[in-house]
Parts: sequence; C-alpha cells; structure tokens
Amino acid sequence: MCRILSYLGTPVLLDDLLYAPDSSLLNQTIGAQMLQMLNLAGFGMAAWDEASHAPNVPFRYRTTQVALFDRNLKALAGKLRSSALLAHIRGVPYNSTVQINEQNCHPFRFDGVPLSMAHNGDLAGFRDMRFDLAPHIRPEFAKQIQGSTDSEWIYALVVSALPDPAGINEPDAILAAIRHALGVLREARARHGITRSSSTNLMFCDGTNLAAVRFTFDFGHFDAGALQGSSEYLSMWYTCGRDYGLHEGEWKLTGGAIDADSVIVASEPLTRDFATWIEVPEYSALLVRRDGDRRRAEIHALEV
Amino acid sequence: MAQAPAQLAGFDREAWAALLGNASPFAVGAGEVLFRQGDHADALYLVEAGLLEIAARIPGDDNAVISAIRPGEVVGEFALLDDGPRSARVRAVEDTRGLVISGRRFRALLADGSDWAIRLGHALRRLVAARTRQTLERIVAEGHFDPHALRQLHAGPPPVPSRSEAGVLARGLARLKGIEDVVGAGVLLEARRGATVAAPGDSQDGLYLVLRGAVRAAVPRGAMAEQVFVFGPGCFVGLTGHSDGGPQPLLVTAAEEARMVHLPAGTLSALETEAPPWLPALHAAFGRQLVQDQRKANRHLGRSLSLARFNHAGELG
Repeated sequence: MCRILSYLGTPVLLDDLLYAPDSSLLNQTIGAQMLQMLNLAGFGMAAWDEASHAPNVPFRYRTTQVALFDRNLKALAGKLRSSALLAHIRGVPYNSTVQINEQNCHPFRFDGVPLSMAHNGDLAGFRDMRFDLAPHIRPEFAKQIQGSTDSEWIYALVVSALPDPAGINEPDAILAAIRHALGVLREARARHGITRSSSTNLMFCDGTNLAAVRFTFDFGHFDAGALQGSSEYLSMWYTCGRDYGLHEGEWKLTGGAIDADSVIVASEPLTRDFATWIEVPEYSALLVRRDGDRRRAEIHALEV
Repeated sequence: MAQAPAQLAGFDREAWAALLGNASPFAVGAGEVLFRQGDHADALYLVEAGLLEIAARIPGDDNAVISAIRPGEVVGEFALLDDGPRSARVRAVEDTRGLVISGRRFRALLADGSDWAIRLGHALRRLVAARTRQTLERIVAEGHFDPHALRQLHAGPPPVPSRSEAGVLARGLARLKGIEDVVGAGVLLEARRGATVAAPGDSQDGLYLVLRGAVRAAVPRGAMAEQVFVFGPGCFVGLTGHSDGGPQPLLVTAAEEARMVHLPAGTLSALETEAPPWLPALHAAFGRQLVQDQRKANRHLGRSLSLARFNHAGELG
C-alpha cells in the first residue's frame, strides 16, 4: 500500500532521511509502524540539489529492486545533499496480477513539468472509470502516461489542471489543481457507481513548494462481509523546525515552530518516538509556503 | 491515602483497601522526570504530596505544558487502558511522592474479575473522558485554528432507522473483534452525508457504533467547523459524554453516508447488570478508544499551539 516521504528545507544528506532514523523510509519496506503490509514493489525518488547542474531539475532514481538491497542507492544517499526530496516505496497486493516495472514506480514526473507526485492508496474500479478521465487530461500529458497505475492518471489530471504546468506554481494553484482532479475522480466514481473506500494520499513537490493530501473517497465503505483493504484512514504526519539531524541521540528538527525553515511530511513518522510529529488531519491538505527566511506549514480542509 | 481521591470516585472502603494492597510507594525529587514522552508505559501514579507538571513535545522540538498534577490526583492512566507509549513527559516541580499501580498486575486481576480492578477500569475511563473534555474545552476557548482548515458546517436531518443487517456489517471489522454481539443490542441507523448526529450541549443517550462510512466531530466556528475527530468503521461515537456523564462536547455529523448502531443509555446500563461474556472486551474497547481520542485531541491542540507560535513569531521578535 506504499509509503511516501517528502522534505523541503535546508540541504540534508539523503542517507539521514532514507536510511538513518530507526523508522526511516527504507526501514518501512519491511517494518512500517502504521501499515500491516510489506512494501516490496519498487522504490523511486526525485531529489533537488541547489549546487547541481540545472538545479530546478531533480535527480531522479527509480528501481523495481527492493531498495534495502540496492547498494547503488545507498552509495548515492551517502553523497547527495538535497534541499527537497520526494521518495516512495511501493506496496502492492501479494499476487501475480500486479505489474511490477519501472514505469509504475513513483514519483511521476512528465517531461517539462517541474511538479512530481507520489501516491499512497488505490482507486477502486479504476479500470472501469479511467477512460472517463481522458477528456480532463491535456493531450501532451496523456501521451506521456507509460505505466498502468491509477496514480499516474491522478498525476496527469492534476498537472493538466495547473495554470502553468511548465512553471513553478504557487501552493494555492497546486491545491486548486488537486481539488479539481479529485472532483473529476468523484464524478467518474458516481457515473460508474463506485462507492468502495479509496485512499488518495498524495504528495507533490517541485523543489520549491510542497503539497500533501490526506484524503479518502467514501471512507469506511466496504462490501458486506468482504472487507477489502484497511478500514483505517491511511496515515500522514509532518514535523517542522530547523537543522534536521541527530540531536541528543534522536533524529529530529529542532528550534521550534517559530524559526522553522524545514518541513518533513511522511506517511508515518521516521522515528519510533513520534513526540515531535503531528498528524495531518483526515480530509485535509498540508501546504508548505515560504514566508521570508521561514517556511510555514498550513492545513487546508478538503471537501470534494 | 485512606480513601479514593475524587478523580477515582466509585470505590467503597473494601475495594479501595484491596487496591492499596496492590500498590507500591514511589517518590521523585523536584526537577526529576517521572517518565518521558515515548517511554514504554506500564504504571499508574497516585500523587499524595508534591506537584507534577505534564508537558508534551510539539513539532520543532518545542514543549507545551498541558497541565499540573496535585495531591489527590492521578497521572499515567493511559498505561492501564492502552498499550501505546507515554504521550507526554511528567516532571516533578516539587518533591513528590505517592503510590504506583502496575499495569501488568491490574490487567491480570481484571482478567480474574477482581472487584477493585473493575472499579478502577470504570474510574479511569471516566477520568480519561474528563481529560479529553478539558482538552476539547481548551481547543474551543483558545481558538488557535488555521482559518484554511475550517470547512463548511453541515447540519442536515438526523439519522433514520435502516433495514440493513447490522450483524453482517459488523463481521470482519478488526476493531470489533470479540464484541460483534454488541450490535445485536442496539438499533441500526443510516445517516446521509452531512446528517447531524449530535450537537454541542446535547444531553447524550448512550453511544453510536459506526459500521460503515464515517462520522466527523468538530468545533463549530460561526458558519464553519473545525474538525477534531473522524470516526470510521468499528469506532464508537459519544464515548466522552457516555463515560463522564457530561453533555456532548462537539458537533457530530456524518462525514460520509454512514450506517451505525445506536446503543441507548438504558441498554448499556442493562448490559452492565447482565454482564454478557463479551462485556470485558467491550470495556477494553472503550478504554482503548478513549485513550486514542485523548491522544488525538492533544495532537490537535499541539498542532494549534505550534501554528499559534509560528503566527506570533514576528511579534515576539
């Protein structure tokens, strides 16, 4: 069922986010705290480094390997310091109908579009309703859909609704595009009579802005006697502060919300002790906005 | 401590003496930490003398003082109702001493049907509910909400009786394991999205148990609502008021089209007398959710405080 991590702030070594904490993203491959599932179906990340060539273009890496065993990734994570990161491990049902390939690894990013997206959840009845979505996707993006996931179509819907897909959009414009895409999905579900609970936890990052969505369509609806998936609302947590690192034996941001210049948002906290983490509310979006030298994390209600 | 403190009302002399027989003394010096947030939790503390301070860490590694614990009050009660880690740090402001009750011993004697353990369970659920009510009252009064986080307040017509089969809907819900029979004791209702289940200040008639869909509990802010809880399948709605006897603290509406069982107060008190075999499991489920609700209300308050600090940063220089 996937796990996602996104970071925006002062540059940090990727190893400190992906590997070092006791419940780091890669440790969640086989030991997630808030999900009774293994996440073995691939890894992907987009990482922005201001000191690199073409700093607005992220370093991208996607693999169908179980990333815990990926020595190349481990070596890169020990070298790269990023001011923004969007990383994802993929978890899928344990059967052979699922397509495991690089095209289905998150995060998704179309050519010429700075915004990347990763998804945690699944859309019930996606095969039935996907062609209803096509009219809402710009042709230049429709032809770039390469994989078979519902997630890539959600991404295509959102970037198609951006005022300037090729530019850096303000957080409010990103949120408006997300609302529009969720509305299109709501209508398509209604047309096809799809009422099963469908989780749509999404994270977007373009290196400058971060938007995260904790949302479920028809939460709590399952067929009688045949409980599919989880009856819990999929989790999402964030924390903010300065100077992410190992402080007093604990991986955390310090300095208080007053001076926060960095934000981490993740499907679940990166540490077993989540005292400094806060839950993103259900049916809500988290926007990270620049405010001078600081960054502020705002919660926005999502009613679709 | 010759008799039960007010926070643990409901003990007669004999039951209180039995509880004291299962407690040990504790002492902590001024400035010392009794337990830290995130620690493994397995004991309840009854303060006889001194002063403790409860503080929780919030994002950015800030601390927010939640409350003070004075003589005659208890702290650490989550440990006996839920197996999660400590939700806050407790530090002694003055030299403090009292009695400690081990969670392991409490659970063993509860499983044996020991009278003092059953009474303590009731008292702790009432106490946690009262603490949640205090937290909610603080959220209402302080009003540090993010204006963007408010949503349109819906107040549609109330739920109506449903013809679905409650027993079928209850099957397979992990949160109800062992207490599926409880749905047979109530009346199945269905609520359209936006239906009003309860309004703040309403006197409460028992509980609701969500079987499908979801219910939202929120603080009304004019024409808008500040969401605090979302209750999905297997969750009880109205536990705070049912446990502490107070009125409904929040506006409760259907966040999704919902089906839920209403367990009227009369039915619930009859269950206490009849004591069906699944009653202890029901009490345990109440205890777990009360703790989860209190944790969630505290997280909500922590998020609001961190937001307030950020927004006032300029004023503080």
